[in-house]
Amino acid sequence: MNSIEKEIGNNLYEFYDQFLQIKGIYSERKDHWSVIRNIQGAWPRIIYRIDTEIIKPESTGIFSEKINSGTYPEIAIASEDNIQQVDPFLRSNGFYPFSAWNGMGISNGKIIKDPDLPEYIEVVKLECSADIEQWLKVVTSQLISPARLEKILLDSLIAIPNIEAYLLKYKGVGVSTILVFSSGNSTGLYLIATDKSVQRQGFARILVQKILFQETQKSINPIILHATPKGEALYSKLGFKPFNQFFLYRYLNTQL
Amino acid sequence: MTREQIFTKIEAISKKIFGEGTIITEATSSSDIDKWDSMNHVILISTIEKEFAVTFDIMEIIGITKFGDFIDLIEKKQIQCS
Repeated sequence: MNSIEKEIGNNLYEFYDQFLQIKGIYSERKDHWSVIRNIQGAWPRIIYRIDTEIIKPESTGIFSEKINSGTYPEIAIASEDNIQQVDPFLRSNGFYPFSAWNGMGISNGKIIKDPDLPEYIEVVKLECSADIEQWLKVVTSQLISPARLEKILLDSLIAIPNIEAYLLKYKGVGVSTILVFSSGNSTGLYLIATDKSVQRQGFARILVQKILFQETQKSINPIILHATPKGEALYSKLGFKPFNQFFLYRYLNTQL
Repeated sequence: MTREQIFTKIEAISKKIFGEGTIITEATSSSDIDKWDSMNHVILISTIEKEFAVTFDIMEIIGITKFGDFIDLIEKKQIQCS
């Protein structure tokens, strides 16, 4: 596995680890998996960093007990490098795969052009309350339900020194979002969304390219993201290459 | 089982999960049905697996975007079993 491939997983898991720092979010690091669960139901609620040791009887028992007692969240993420062992384990515990993200990256040294922004487009770092509200409006209409991503959580996230969020404004109105997490070894791009009313007009491309340019000026670390099948084409056009996959599972707790 | 028979069974399953008024074709996808969220997606998969006594592997599952994909997979598995 090359370094960029490794970083695609590391950055994601380290991003989730940031939630350990946020008051009110309950996170747990077990020996062979980590969990973010929030009694208020805030985003994210996920079981991650699952390693193959989970299939050993001593781990299996604890995991199954937590799942069956309803104390763990319903979403789990498994990485491609251990999916052969983890998939049967998760399925035997009531999880079904439902989607996959493509781990994509741009290696260091890639030259990114600073996009020319038309006069009516600006990219701002989230600092003032009006921009934060607009950023939230876009993300909660596209990616995460409003009840699960409250302003207080976003405020806590962007207060973390290595997390920054940006908003692209079109004629003064926020239409595209991104959140940038620098792990030290790589830069991860998260929560890339565009308001439904202005999709397919190139705003996300401009925003991602602007951030790519900015980040490549700051460091030589690879830049990575986890693309949904819908987003992959856009990122390929920007120079991202697919390296690996991450599989999303959902706990099926309904009697059929 | 013919393709039409498979479709009829899947249609009945989809009505149970997404509501009686749900009308589907082989081209109907998750974006056409409001109730087709991640939870109902896994319910749909597990119900179809039980109904047709098949198991889909992970790569097959993540490749499913429309009802026709289920039929293709079931047909393929029927051939493998016969």
